[in-house]
Amino acid sequence: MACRKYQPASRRRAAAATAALYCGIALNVASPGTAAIDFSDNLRLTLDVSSRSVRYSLADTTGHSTVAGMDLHKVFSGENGDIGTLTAQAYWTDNNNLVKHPGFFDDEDDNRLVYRIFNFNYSGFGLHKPRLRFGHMEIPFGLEQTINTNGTLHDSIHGPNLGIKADWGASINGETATFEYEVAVTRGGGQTWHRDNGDFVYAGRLGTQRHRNLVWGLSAYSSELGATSRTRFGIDMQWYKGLWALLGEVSTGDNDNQNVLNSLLEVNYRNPTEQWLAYLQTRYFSIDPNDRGWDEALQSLLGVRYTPDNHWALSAQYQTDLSTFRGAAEDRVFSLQLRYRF
Amino acid sequence: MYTPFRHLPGATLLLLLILLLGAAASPVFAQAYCSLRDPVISIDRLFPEADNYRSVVRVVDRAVRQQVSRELPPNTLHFGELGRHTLYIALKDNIPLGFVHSRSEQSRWGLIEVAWALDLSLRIKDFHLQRCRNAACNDLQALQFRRHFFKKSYAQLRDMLAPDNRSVDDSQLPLPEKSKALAGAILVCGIKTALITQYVWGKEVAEAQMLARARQAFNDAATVELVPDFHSERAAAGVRAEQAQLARAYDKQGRLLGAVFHAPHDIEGQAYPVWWAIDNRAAIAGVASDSGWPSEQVGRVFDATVGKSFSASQQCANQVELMALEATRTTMANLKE
Repeated sequence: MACRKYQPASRRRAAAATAALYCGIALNVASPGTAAIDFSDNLRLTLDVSSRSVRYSLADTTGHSTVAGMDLHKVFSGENGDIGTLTAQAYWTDNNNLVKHPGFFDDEDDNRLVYRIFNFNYSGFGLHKPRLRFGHMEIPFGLEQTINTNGTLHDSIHGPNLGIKADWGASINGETATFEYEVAVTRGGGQTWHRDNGDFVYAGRLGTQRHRNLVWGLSAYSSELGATSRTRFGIDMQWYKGLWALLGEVSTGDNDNQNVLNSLLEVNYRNPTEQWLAYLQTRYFSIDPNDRGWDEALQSLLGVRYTPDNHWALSAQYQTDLSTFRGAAEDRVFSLQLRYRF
Repeated sequence: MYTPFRHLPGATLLLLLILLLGAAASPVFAQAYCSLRDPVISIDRLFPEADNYRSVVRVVDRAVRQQVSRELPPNTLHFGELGRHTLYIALKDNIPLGFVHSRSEQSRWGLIEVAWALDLSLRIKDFHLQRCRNAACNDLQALQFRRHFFKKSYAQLRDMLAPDNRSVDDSQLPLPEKSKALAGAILVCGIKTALITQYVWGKEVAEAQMLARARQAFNDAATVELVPDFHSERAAAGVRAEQAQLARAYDKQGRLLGAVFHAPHDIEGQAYPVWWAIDNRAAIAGVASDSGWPSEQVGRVFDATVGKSFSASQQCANQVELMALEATRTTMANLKE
């Protein structure tokens, strides 16, 4: 049963600040030339709306999530070259009976402003120099760094593996003739700027250039999030052959000194116009609690996405547990999503 | 029953509505913008002398698609080619060297993505296959194939097309059977790039050209400003002023240094794209032809005008000085405005 909840002051302040930013931008865009800085120059701005329905077999119930927000991309440029890029994605997310939801929602009926990517990447040092990113960013680790699944059913194991998918902080990033890299230090608050004492995230990835047909990456991660400390070392791979792709990620480390091994393997296919994407994914999670033997969970996912034009994206995904931790009951989840970008 | 947005506060809905109105005029891009990345490696590879770049985002809309369909039937623009796209101006010491434009082209192996380097005259400098998932990619990325595109203008690229407008003309460029389809896609992509860059980014291209010219004549030139709707009905002394462009040149403090006048000039029966840099005291600060001179001797006659001022035809000793006079008159008339 959904109910309207009390919103903490920090959430209200963040929502008000974001609304003010977008209002300012909208007014500037509506009347270019009247402000000191013409924000409409080099600007991409899109209203992004989606609706998702999720059927949970085990709970025998259906949940819904409705999302509406702005996707903004603005390159600040001067006579001497580009200064940096602002990417701002804030989405009002309204869940109703969403049994499995990210941890930053209070419960299955919560609603809140969700920040996806919300940062400024300073590039003013020049073409061959590193860049500095500030704001809310994806944790640079593994496949997610290059395939980017925000707002789609198609997902990697970023969140479950690291305990956090995106966070507020800073990073150094760049590209060389052979490699691309990003090293980040973030606060550990996830959606909120607030952090508990001692929380932190250090993460970095070094990979070959993502446009190649064979991409390799090495990642490292260390965090203290609440009562849990995590370390991970990972390797990820993408291999593209014609219309087919093979994606893989393996990471090992520990959660509070308990050994962990997690992995993902995906085969996907696109049609020649790339309007259709079909993927088959297997996710493997394992933990060795106090050296008492490995406990394992295995999931399989089959998904499809149809993008008929620049506006619509229709997705469907079926996820089933093949085995679960401590022999818990296995679930099957069917999701449908309709997304429209104005 | 589930009702979307029933949790949304009214103020939030109002805000979304305002933003929707703002966004409605903005052609959309199917992927979330966080997936956009500047082709830094391509810029570095295609312009190794560049030390920076500047982005210019413009809309490729249905009018551009119609233009492509008219000029290159049966080719058109894939929906992913519409929306806001970026032209990158490669810079060295803040002076434009040329342009990088990444475009995707549909092929039977999915979308190929090509980063094109164009010189200031919009001729192909080079290209780099950023995304290509076909077995023939390596062959066509090789210099042996790429060099067939070097220094080619839009018209010269079109001449490389077979009558079907989709494949490379075999008689000009014989290719192995396995490479033909991909080579055709790359050629069509290059032709579209030259066409769209001129059509959509024409003003920015003209400004970059003028700034590069201004810097050759005025050491302190930092910016240029194209004189809008500049044209003259006159076609005197072999200067086709009706096709002329004029840009004012400024230093870092915004002080006017002079102007650059660019127009086709009839020299020995042919049109040459000649520019004159004229300082704010009406003296010739520089002159050059974008495509070179017909001979060294002609070049020397033009060079001899540098440092001189021309205000009347009686001062002119030859046809070139009459051209200098014509450029000066037109330029100074606009600078005074």
